Parts: sequence; structure tokens; C-alpha cells
Amino acid sequence: MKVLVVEDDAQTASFLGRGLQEAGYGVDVAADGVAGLEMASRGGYGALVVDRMLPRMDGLLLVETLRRMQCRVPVLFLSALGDVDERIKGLQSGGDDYVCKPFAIAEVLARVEVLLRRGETSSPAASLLSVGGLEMNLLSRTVRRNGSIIALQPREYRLLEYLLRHAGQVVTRAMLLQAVWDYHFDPQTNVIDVHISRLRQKIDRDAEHPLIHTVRGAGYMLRDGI
Amino acid sequence: MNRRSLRLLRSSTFRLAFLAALLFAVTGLGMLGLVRWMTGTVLDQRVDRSVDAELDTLLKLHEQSGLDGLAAEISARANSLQGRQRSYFLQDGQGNQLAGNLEVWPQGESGGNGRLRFAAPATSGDPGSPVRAVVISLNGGGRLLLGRLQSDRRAFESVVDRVMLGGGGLTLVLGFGVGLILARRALGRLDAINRTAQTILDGHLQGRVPRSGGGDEFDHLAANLNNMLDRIERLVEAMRGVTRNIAHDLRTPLNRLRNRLELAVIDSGENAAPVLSEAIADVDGILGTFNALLAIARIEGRRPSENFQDIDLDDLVAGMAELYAPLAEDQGLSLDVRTGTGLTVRGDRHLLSQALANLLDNAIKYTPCGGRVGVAVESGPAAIRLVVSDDGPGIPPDQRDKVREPFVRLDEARNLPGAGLGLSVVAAVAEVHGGKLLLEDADPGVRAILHITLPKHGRVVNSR
Repeated sequence: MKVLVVEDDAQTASFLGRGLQEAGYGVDVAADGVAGLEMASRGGYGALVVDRMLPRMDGLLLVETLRRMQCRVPVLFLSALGDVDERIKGLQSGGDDYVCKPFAIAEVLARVEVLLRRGETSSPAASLLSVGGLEMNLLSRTVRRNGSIIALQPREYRLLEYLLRHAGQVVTRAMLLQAVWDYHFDPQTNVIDVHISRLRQKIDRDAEHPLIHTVRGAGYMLRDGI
Repeated sequence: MNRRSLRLLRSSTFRLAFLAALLFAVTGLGMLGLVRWMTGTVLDQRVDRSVDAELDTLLKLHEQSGLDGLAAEISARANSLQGRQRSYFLQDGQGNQLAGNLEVWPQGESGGNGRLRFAAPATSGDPGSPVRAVVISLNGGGRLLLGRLQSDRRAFESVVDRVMLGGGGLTLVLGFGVGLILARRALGRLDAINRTAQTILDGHLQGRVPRSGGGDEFDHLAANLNNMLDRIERLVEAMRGVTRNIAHDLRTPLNRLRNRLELAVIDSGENAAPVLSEAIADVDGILGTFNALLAIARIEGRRPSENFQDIDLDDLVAGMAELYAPLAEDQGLSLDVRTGTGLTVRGDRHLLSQALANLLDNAIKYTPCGGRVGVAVESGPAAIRLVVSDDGPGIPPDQRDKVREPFVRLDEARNLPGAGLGLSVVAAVAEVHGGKLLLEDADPGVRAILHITLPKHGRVVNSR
């Protein structure tokens, strides 16, 4: 799977490239908007990482043009503009996700992976999500581990649903805060960790193999096995 | 009397104008009074000379023909045509009236120059003019009173009195009116300046005082104020710029450093040295500080009501309490949530969430195990209050203003994580919403209040 990075700052592009390669993706880099549009329109990329501010062609315009060309490739915006309304503008122009600079490479990797695997993992129509012995029935809103019902608070349910929908992928704390709580700020304290540890107690307490794993320096992952 | 006219009356312009009119009136009255007095003196002197001349004649007659001759002459004079303007009274040694046109010996007062002043009894033709008279004791007993009616002086004085009354009154009325007009004009100009000052206080540094173009002293003042405001705006901009630039420029190399460290962790996989993660955490701390600084600059730099929407405050507080409840519980704190006001305010949901999160972060961080943290929506007559309270160590009164400033941390908090920007962010958010951050003593602990005044940029809708 190949990822196109459209970023004019050579250092940032190289760091992103190395990070993505470590994660097992092929990486192409375009240094300005026009080159990025050309390469992207040739196709063959699973996802695009696009800086908002680019020479020759603005990142927003690049993505708008791609969308007009019926190119549906997932796009992750990078931007130094941290405002929520900037994020909304990015998403309105056709972007799928948004990361503010300065960013952690782990954050970008996690989000790119979610974008790349969006098609295969989430089938919104499915009424049952399951990993290992854990089952979530989306219609009856019940959760079972190895057959026995686990009672969850509404928020815990949504947290687990998000983890299940992205099973096998790293989800960062910021992703959880945005997706489950719809907050876009950076909490000073480990609020998310506490919520995860509550959920963990309910899901993994009596289990032989824990399902919720902590990924050091990045976030969490729900997966079967070790 | 409504507030506007009361303001006019209390304005210094009005007071000055009215004072000037008062001074003018008093001066005018004084001068008229002087003229009245001096003219009176001159008239008195003329009367005195005329009386003295007649007295000489009569005294000579008394020497020649005695008391009886004098009485006959006086009777004749009193009954003559001239006698109507004169007063005569002749008494013998026993006090019996011998001649004269007065019924009784008049009771009067001294008129100066040895003269007696009294009012003539009113007659049908004359309402009792003042009389100026001389009284002489006659050789061989008896006394003579000889006087002149001063009806001309009375007429003159009544004219002057009317002029003084009318003129003085007119001056005062005119002074009052002119004062009001001047005060209205001056207040109008001053109000323009005050409105500009309020605009500046509300955070719009580009507000300027309008000028009438007439080149008067107000225009002069406006020009000077505007120059001063230009300079302040430039300085504030420069300061914001410097802060922003430092944060912005250092953020890029720091992020490179962070990326390098992160790649080193990724490269070394499971065997990554713990020191790398610690270094990343340190860099994250610095980046967090810079991000907060830039966020403050961004919040302060934006126009109020940009991206404002109707926000259900109960939802906002309940959501944030739900996010922080497990954390509080883990720290051994009880979290009290008070909502149910049904209040809606126009504001920025993300900024208000961030502000509440910072306050809750602080409360949970500084309250010792077993304590109590509260978060509530309160409504007042003209304001809504988002309150985060705790029963922790509190903030000493003299430090409460200081902790709102960037980078200020209390000594007790030096060993806890954070850069001391949390409350500055909250203060900036409060300001964008036309409110302020208040810190009150909760005894024990502290109440941090996001106090949003309503008519300005917000609005209450009672949705229930």
C-alpha cells in the first residue's frame, strides 16, 4: 500500500516518510501542490497526507480539485493552523481527517492506518462486532465476553464500539477524545487513560487474554491474542 | 428628572457656564446697586441743601418774631402748593403741636448727616413716600421738624430695583440655558471618546475617537488620544507578535527534535531506551507550553462572536463532568455536578469546553485525596456563571490576580506538572465571551468562576 506525502518542508516530509516506511507502507513525496495533484491524480495511492499550506497550490484547493475529479482517495490534512474552524474547513473541502502541527509521528501513523483500512474494517451495516470472545450487538446494544453479558455505561459502550470498529489498529488518545467525546482540545491530565482502565476492568478482568492493549508512545489497540 | 438631564446638570461644562452667568449677574447687580446708592446719596445731598436753606430762613424768622410768628409762617408754607412735597412739624416746649402738616411726631430712623428718615403717612395721591428731614431744638423751648418728600428718589429706586430683578433673573435663566446647550455639546463629544474607550476595553484595539473636523480642543484631544491608541495598538501587536513568533519559530525545531526521538524509538522497537520516551515527554511539555501560548494569542486575537453558536450549558457541564468523573474518583475525590438551569448562551463550544477542562484539571490536580470538587452552572440576573470549586488548599487572596497571568505558578505547585498557562487560557476564553474569570475563596478551597455578562455577546434563552 502506498501513501503520498505532499509537504514542502523537506525535514517534515522525510520524518513522515521514514515513519510510514517503518510501518510498512510505500511512500512518495511531493514538495508542492501542483506536483502533489499530478501524482495523486495518476492514482495508485491508498491515502494522502497533505499539508494545508503548500507552494504553487494550496492544500485545500488540491483536495477540492481531486474530489471534483471523482478521486475518492482518503486524505489526512496536516496544518499549523490549530483552530477548530480550520479543521472544519479542511474537512469541508474533502479531507477525511486533520492533524495539527506540531504532530507526533505516531498520531499521523495511527490516523493514516485508520484511513487506509476504512473500507475493509468498518461495514456500518453490520449489526455485530466481534473480536476474540468479545461480541457487541449493535441492535440490542449488548456486550458479551465469552457468552456472559457485560453491563456498560453509555460512554463506555461508545468507547468500546470505537475500539472494536478499529480493532487491530492503533487509536490515539486524541482520536478517542474526538470520536467518542467530540472534544478537540489537549487535556493536561490522563482523563482518557482512566476511562480506558475502567473499560479494561469490565472487559478484561476475568479473561485469560486481555483484548485492550496499551501501545507505548501512541495509544491503545484492541486485538485478539498477544 | 431622568438620568440624562441629571448628567447634563452635573457636567462641569454646565456648572462652569452657570457659574459664569451667576458671576455676571452678581457683578451687574453690584454695579446697579452702587449706582442706586450713589444716586440716592446725591439726591439726599440736594434735599439736605434745600432743607438747610429753608431752615436758615425759618430760624431767622424765629429770632425775629418768636414761636408764634414761626408757627404762622409754617402753617402758610404747609398749606401752599409746595407744601405737599414738604413736611413740617413745630412743637412748643411742652410737646404741643403748634403748626405743620403731620398728624403726629414721626418715628423714624437716622438717615445720616444728622437727618431723620421716615415714611410719610399714605394719602390718596401718594402711597407714603420716604421723607428726609432735619430736627432742630429752638432757642427758648420747642422744636422744629423740616423735611422733603423724596418721591423722585423712590421712583428712581423702584426703576433700578425692577431692572436689577429682571436683569438678574434674565441673566440666570440665560446662563442656565446656555449652560445646558454647551454641556450637551461637550457631553456629546465626550461620549464619543468614552464609547471609544469602552470599545478598546472590550478588546477592539482598532477603535478610534471620531473628530468633528472643526479643529477645536476636542479635536485636539481626539487626535492625541488616537495617536496614543495607534502607539498602544502597535506595541500590543508587537508584543503579541514577539510571543507568537518565539513560540512559532521554536515549535518547528522542537517538533523536529521530537520526530527524531520518535523515529529512534520506532527504529529500536521493543529495545528502545527509556530515556528516549522521557525526552519525548519533556519535549511534549515544552511544545504544550508553546501551543498554549499560541492558543491564547489566537483566542485573544479573534473577533468576539466568531463561530458562536447556541450552547446548552447543562449539556456542556454535564459532558465535561462525565469526562472527568472517573479521574476524580481515581484521585479519591467526589465530583458534584449541579446543572438543570436550562440556560443557553451564545458562545464557542470548543473554547468553553477547553476552559472547563483546564479548571477541572486544576481542581483535580490541587485537591488532596478525600476532597470534593464541584462543577455547576449558575444563573444570575445579568450573567451566567460556570463554576468549578474545590476544597483544596485554595489560593491566597493576594495571589488571585497573579495566577491569571501567564506562567505564574504558586510556590506550592512548582513540583506539579504544567506551565502555568491554564488559567490564562480560561481568562482569554472568558474575555472572548464578554466575561471574566473570577477566583473566590470557597473556605476552604477556591471557586473559579467563568462569569459571562449577558447582554453583550451572549443571550439567555430559557428553553424550558
